[in-house]
Amino acid sequence: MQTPNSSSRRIGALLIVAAIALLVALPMLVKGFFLFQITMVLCMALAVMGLNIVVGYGGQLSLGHGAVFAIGAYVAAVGMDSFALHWLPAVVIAGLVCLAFGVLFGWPSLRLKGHHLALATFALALAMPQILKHRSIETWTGGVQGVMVFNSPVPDWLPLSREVFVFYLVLAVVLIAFFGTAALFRSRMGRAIIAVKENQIAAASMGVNVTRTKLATFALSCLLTGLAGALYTLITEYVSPDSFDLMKSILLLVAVMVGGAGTILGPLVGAVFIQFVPNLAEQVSQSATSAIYAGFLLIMVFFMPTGVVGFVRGLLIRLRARR
Amino acid sequence: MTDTSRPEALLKPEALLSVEGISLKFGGITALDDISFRVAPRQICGIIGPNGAGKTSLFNVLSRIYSPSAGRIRFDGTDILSLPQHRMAALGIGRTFQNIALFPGMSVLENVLVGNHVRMRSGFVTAMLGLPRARRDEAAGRKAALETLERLGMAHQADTLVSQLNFGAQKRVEFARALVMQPKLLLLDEPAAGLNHEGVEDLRAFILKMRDAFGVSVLLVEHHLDLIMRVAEQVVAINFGRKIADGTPAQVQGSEAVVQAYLGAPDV
Ligand SMILES: Nc1ncnc2c1ncn2[C@@H]1O[C@H](COP(=O)(O)OP(=O)(O)OP(=O)(O)O)[C@@H](O)[C@H]1O
Ligand SMILES: [Mg+2]
Repeated sequence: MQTPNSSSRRIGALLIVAAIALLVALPMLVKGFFLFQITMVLCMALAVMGLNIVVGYGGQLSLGHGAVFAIGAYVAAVGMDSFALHWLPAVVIAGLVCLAFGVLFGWPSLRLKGHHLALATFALALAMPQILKHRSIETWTGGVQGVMVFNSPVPDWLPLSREVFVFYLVLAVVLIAFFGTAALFRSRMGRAIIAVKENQIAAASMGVNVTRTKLATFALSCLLTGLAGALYTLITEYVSPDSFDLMKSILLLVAVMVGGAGTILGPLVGAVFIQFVPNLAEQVSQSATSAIYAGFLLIMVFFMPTGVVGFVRGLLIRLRARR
Repeated sequence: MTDTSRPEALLKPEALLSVEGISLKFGGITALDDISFRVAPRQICGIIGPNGAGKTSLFNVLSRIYSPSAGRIRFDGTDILSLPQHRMAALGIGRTFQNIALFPGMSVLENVLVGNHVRMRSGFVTAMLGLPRARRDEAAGRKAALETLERLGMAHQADTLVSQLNFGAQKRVEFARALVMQPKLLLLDEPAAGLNHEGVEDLRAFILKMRDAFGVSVLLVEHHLDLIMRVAEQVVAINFGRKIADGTPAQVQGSEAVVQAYLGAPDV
């Protein structure tokens, strides 16, 4: 078995260019709720990309990325609402806060061996809704009510509707993150991240600072997921504490697995799954929505244990071997 | 323990590696017991001993995977016991593992590129932004990795997943991964395992060539005594964690203690 060769890489590049062209043209093709849904898929894809870095590439389990998403969303919301920030600095600050959070939170949990990160992030996800509702920060977070964000992000000189502008904004951030991570995993530090996952002792013998690499992996993943949270605020114009419960974290993890952990395209596929399959399940049966959804998930687990992207990749390799 | 109590150490004051009184314990087991020896620059030093003698444990101490309970190790003027494991590569200690420790999900080339980690420079930001600096770094790293693979006759398998290779080829990838960082000292743990007669001959020629071309010192653990006797200038024999002989291959081979140790372990 060979890793992807240059011809299949060229086909992949062509497909990506076609997909980007389609996305750029999308607001001219679809409107209203469907455009909103696609924007949401892209936003979730960014969050899943973040989680994929730590889970798929770094081999560490985080059960709390929904909480990181919440921090990004709230920092942006509070920034725009209470501090009257323009959306751009609000989003940037939200990303940086999540990056710093990743360092501070990851530091104690990652220095220990074993599953401490999983436990610590689980605790974080459990606590997050209540933290957001806490009275001490109610002036900014609005307690159970959450925060509404009314300012329009569209610059005066742009003849775009709010929905279309936000769509392009989210698309731009997703593309930057997509190509940035793709480049990372073809570089020295990206390989170090994978090396730490695959054999820690060997990685350290090659000069990789294991603790620092794990920490950077987690922080980077928090940056992406936090940015996704901030963009979510721009999309929905409203954040409330109960939309960021443990289930959110679990769904992000489901998206990583279904799409294909440790693959570049996996998060996009995974985001489509968690965004559309619940609706699909509802259409199949109103009364047994959860069961149908669970059924879809089980089918995925049994037939594509390495996720959709992993499955397709395996298929391509087998096809090429037959030729 | 000072150097003056060890006259043999005084004879080689220019040692690249000096191991002084190293002991290592696993619970009740003493894996290494007061081991001392020196390796000069450009020297090939064999480590022999029956199964369970402590050879791999010694390597793991030298690469800072295990911390000894006593003793000192100086490498190239540095007390390595005060440094963490990941600093050894940059100091100039490269190694291979007895039980293959490759990165199974990576290609041959990627494995060797990780070996080049300390000689490459780019960080997260430059790489993610695709800056020219990062591209140059990547290109130079790839070139070095491919040259090393070429030298080991493995360039044509650069894109193969290492998990698809047989044991012998995997050992060679480990060798390439340790060589690409241009170490001053190379620790080879049973590199001849699984090789046929021809393979062992190639390995011998290759070790000598590496030493002559790059001036690297080699510590070689082998059960293949014939290889050790023909490639090493110095041999250290250990048994039950203790050094039982140290000298030229001929001296060590003729040592009573070594003969006894091997007679006591007929499976070797
Ligand atoms: N991590 C460990 N925990 C406990 N005991 C260990 C550990 N590693 C090695 N030992 C013990 O230390 C002793 C030396 O083992 P070591 O692997 O160093 O021997 P070796 O000389 O490399 O043997 P071989 O020729 O079989 O590779 C053995 O008794 C072994 O069981
Ligand atoms: Mg051994």
